[in-house]
Amino acid sequence: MTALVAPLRRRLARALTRHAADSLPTHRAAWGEAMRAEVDGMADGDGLLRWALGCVMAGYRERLGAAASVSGGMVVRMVLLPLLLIGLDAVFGGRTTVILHALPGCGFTVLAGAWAVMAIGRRRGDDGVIAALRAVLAGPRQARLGPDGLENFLAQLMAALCQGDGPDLVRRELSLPLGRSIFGAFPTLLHDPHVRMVMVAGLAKQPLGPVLEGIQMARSRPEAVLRRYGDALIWMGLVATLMGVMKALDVLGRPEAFGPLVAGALVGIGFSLVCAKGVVRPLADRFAHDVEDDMAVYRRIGAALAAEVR
Amino acid sequence: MPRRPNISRQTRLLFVALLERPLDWRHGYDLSKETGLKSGTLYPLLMRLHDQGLMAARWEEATRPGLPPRHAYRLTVEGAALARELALPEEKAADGADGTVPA
Repeated sequence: MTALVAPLRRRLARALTRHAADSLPTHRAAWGEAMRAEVDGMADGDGLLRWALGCVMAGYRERLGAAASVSGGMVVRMVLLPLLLIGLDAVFGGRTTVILHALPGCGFTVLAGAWAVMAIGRRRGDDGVIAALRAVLAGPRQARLGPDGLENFLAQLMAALCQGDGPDLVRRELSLPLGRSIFGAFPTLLHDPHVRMVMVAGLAKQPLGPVLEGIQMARSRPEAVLRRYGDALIWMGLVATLMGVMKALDVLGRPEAFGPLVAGALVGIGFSLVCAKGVVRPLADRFAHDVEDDMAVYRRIGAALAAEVR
Repeated sequence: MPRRPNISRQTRLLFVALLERPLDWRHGYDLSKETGLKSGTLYPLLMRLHDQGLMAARWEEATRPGLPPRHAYRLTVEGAALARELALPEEKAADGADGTVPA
């Protein structure tokens, strides 16, 4: 019986640690490999499954930790803006009813703007809108160049130079173990005559420009999505205001109800302008600035790599 | 300068285990057996300590053929210093409890 159960248990443990490794965020990939290797090295026994289940829990914890990294600044902006509007109204008008009338319009503006961005993205075949929105929510600092970014960039450059199309091919081509960083192995690889020959041939055929352009396009996506959202907010604010005014026309004969409804409708367009110009556009500019900074580093690395290979 | 980590009971256990043989590279499962920490607690802890520069990690070739390389860990100089700093009050407390006078 034990002879039957043991292989099954090992197989299940392997499947669990594979799942744990898949659950980890990209920058923790080496730790996923570590978990898998540990299970392969363990003796058969009950501890095997417990260990593998623990690895799954560790994977989930790390994944949840990475997903919860919405920037504090973003949350503060989202909370402060409506509070500021209510405060201004209370100080200068003392008519909080106007804000209450405006709230549905403001909500409509924000949600319909997001829907419009996704709809436009889908129509253009841009399926990365959700990923870009996630990057936006995580804040510009999360999108900055890090070890993972450099690793991916170098993998892409080398893939292009080796005339392949992905990091896996580079690893295969260079017989690089999965846990070993391409970035870390880079100086050693350049001393390999075969690799140099392949790369020189690749460099003659494939200039680095398209690779850099591709990277810039991918990294600029959150900024493009933000700008689209900013534009959509203004249009949706206009729609919300129009709808509010039309609703107000129903009570045209009652000035005490008509006034707050029209004022509330006008707050809608003001809100959308403040959101678009005061929050969304500066955030997009910041993304653009960060991407430009990172691209300068990428260009220098690309130029250094090309010079070194030549 | 790495940020000083939140020192939980689990971190202390791990530090104590790593301090016993500070120059040896240790594997995750061995550390788990020594400290009694489950893999779900041990790995996030190892990741944090590695991020904070308190622990070094490297890949080691497997001792048996056909097995993949294993990840091995040991304290960095900073990690060892912090671990000693943390272990010292506990040792003193233990000595006091035993009724012995520390040298």
